[in-house]
Amino acid sequence: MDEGDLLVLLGPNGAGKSSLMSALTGWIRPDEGQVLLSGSPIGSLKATERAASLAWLPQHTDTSESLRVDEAMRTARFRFSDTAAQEEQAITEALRWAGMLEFRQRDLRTLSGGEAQRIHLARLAVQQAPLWMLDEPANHLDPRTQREVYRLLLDRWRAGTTMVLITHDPALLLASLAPPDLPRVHLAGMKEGRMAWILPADAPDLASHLGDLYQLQAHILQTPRGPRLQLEWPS
Amino acid sequence: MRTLLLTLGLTLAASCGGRADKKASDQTRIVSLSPAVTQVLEQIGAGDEIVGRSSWCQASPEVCSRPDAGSSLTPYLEVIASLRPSMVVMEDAAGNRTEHLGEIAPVQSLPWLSASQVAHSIDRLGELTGHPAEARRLSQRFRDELKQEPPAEGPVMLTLIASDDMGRGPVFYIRPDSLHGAAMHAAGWRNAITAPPEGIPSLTLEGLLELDPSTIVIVSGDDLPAADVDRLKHSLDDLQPLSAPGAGRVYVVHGDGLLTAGPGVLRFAEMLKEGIPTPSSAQNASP
Amino acid sequence: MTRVALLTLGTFLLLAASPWIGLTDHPDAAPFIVWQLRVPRLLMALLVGLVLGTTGAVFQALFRNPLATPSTTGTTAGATLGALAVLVLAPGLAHPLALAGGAFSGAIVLSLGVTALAMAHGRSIHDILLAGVALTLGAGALTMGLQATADMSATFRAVQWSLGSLSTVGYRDVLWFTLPALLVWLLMIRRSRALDALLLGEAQAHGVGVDPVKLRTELLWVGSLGVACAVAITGPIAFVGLVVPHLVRRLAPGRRKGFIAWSGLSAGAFLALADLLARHVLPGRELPVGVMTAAIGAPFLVALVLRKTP
Repeated sequence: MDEGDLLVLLGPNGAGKSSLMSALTGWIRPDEGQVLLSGSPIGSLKATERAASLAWLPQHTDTSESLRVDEAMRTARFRFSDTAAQEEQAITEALRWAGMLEFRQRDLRTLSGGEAQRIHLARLAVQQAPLWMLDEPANHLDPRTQREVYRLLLDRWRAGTTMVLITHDPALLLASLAPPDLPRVHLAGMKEGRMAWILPADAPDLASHLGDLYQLQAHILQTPRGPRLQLEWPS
Repeated sequence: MRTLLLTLGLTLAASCGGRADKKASDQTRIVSLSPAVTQVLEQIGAGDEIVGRSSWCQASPEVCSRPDAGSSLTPYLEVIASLRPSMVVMEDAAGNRTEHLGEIAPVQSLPWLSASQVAHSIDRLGELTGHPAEARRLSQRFRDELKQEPPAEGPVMLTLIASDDMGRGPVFYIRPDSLHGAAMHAAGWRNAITAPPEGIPSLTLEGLLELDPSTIVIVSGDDLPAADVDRLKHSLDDLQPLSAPGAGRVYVVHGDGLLTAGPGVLRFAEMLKEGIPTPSSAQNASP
Repeated sequence: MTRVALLTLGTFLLLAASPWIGLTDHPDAAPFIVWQLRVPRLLMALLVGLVLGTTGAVFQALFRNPLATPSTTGTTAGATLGALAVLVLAPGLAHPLALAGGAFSGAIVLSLGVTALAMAHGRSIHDILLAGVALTLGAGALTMGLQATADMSATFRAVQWSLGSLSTVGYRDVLWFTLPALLVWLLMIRRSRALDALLLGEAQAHGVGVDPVKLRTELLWVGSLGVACAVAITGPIAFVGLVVPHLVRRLAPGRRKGFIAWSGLSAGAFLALADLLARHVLPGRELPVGVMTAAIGAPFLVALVLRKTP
């Protein structure tokens, strides 16, 4: 991947998307091959060095413990050793970006799913890493909140953050992209633990690859607001 | 179910008993569930009749090598049944489990708290085992050599039970209304503890400092090596306000079986009488 | 955290005056009782509480389990087994240090066995918790087996030891224990930021730059060592490490800044207060401090469970 790319990992359940991302973040060690981050094997980096380049939002977060939003934000500043004022400022900026400024004193456990997800995006932002990895960031959210999450993420990407994204909803992803974004977004189809293909979002044969991936019929309709994807049972 | 198991045990025990035991079977076969009773039985010449002894045993090694029959709180019913005793003897105490023992053999539960009770119980043991004369000699010593009542006059002593963290936490002492308390009185000492306590006889360190007895005896129911005796003797040195350590009036008395409620009590009385100088005689002796 | 701080500091003030409560009329003994018995005992309680409370707060976060305690790694069970083994198997070793040595060895063997598991990559924290529980139960059964074969005096002594006592004369134990206690406290405060990151899950913590395996290995070792030292001196003291962090959490919900530090300090105050009550609740008699912490802690914990979560 190059700086500024957006790579979207697609595939049926169990295709190995999350495992691949875990290996890319250094959380699990791959049986074969290696992951290089700016040229060095990711396992050889110190945890804080890695966190300076790479921020990760895993699929699941533990919310068994009561934790205030600002304290949760603080944990994402772990790699920094900054003063209280610097920390405060960074947290305020990230919360403002996510539109969650007025929630800073709330307990994370009392937030709705959408609010909590925005806090997690703000946590990624406050870590100030140039590369983000997100595992199904819009899962379990209502349609409007899903679109808000994608808008926040894509704004960030357009501003220069490199991203790897796992999603089960390629239609939502395509609908969130503006036409000029398309050539810079790459979709990767994964099947049975292997990367089957990588295509730019404006590839003409994308629909047939997607249909093949999910064993469904896929159509891409070109509309004035950009391409729209539809998946349905084969007739 | 329990009765069934018990019957099974009894049947097994009966079938296992060899012909060699036939002769012994018309003799008395005693299971003793009290270390003190075992010691007394041995002393009055009934040692051979003991077929089972308590888990905690302080009698001769020969007697203590016989089968372990548990304690009066937790008797090993199967072991006792297989020993085919003609009687089971124990000290009378709250919590004894006699309900099933009675089905195996007659149970003798002997009062064993004061000197007179013990003397009376020793006589009873003599009658039961056919050694009345020897029993009488021993019981007479309990009557003569122990005194439940404190002497009207005399020096004061506090007797502490030795423990390995002596002097660092609460201490346990010998109460005036006990057998060993009677031994202290008989040796001519008054107990620094005048009123028998309710419950466990223990003193906090602060309580000990407040009491500040002029003579302190530390007693151990085991034979101690010289190093341990020396350590115990100095175990109260850190408690500076206490006068006894500074005046050299902390004594250690030790010996196997000294703390059981058997003949060891008589030995304890003798050791106190002979081994501990009274404060006045000590002053006279020093130049 | 302000409420916690005020409550703890208030208790400290009360405790500072406590050595002069209910002194005997014995004029010569009074200064000795205050300076050689009560003050060192108070300091001991504060230090032991500091270690137990800090470790409790850390282990609850580490295992992400509200029932985790300083003994979750088998520390207490190992110490009890070790102490009893000395009493039963080597009754001739009457030296006061023998018991502490046995307790320390038992605690270290068992808890390091458990924490060695934690060093493996890919081992879930729940496996470690389960191993701790299994070893604790196993050691408990061995202890009971030993007790059944022990004679009366050894059993009595073991039961007495297992109730815990802060009884001490002079400052030797206090001096000996100050350094480990403060080291445990300070190190765990240093790691509290990393520990907070762990609250959202190990993968989350990894994402922000924490090495969860290294962190848990380090904290389990340090905590177990500190608790083993404490147990060797005072015997196991229950409930302090369990209850106090929960109390702090209730008073300052959602706050993590200062949580570890104040859990330790409050636990010191709690234990010293329990010890004060244990000594004064019955005139002329001392209750084991373990009885008092359990008497306060058990109903509190039940109330905590029954109360609706805030």
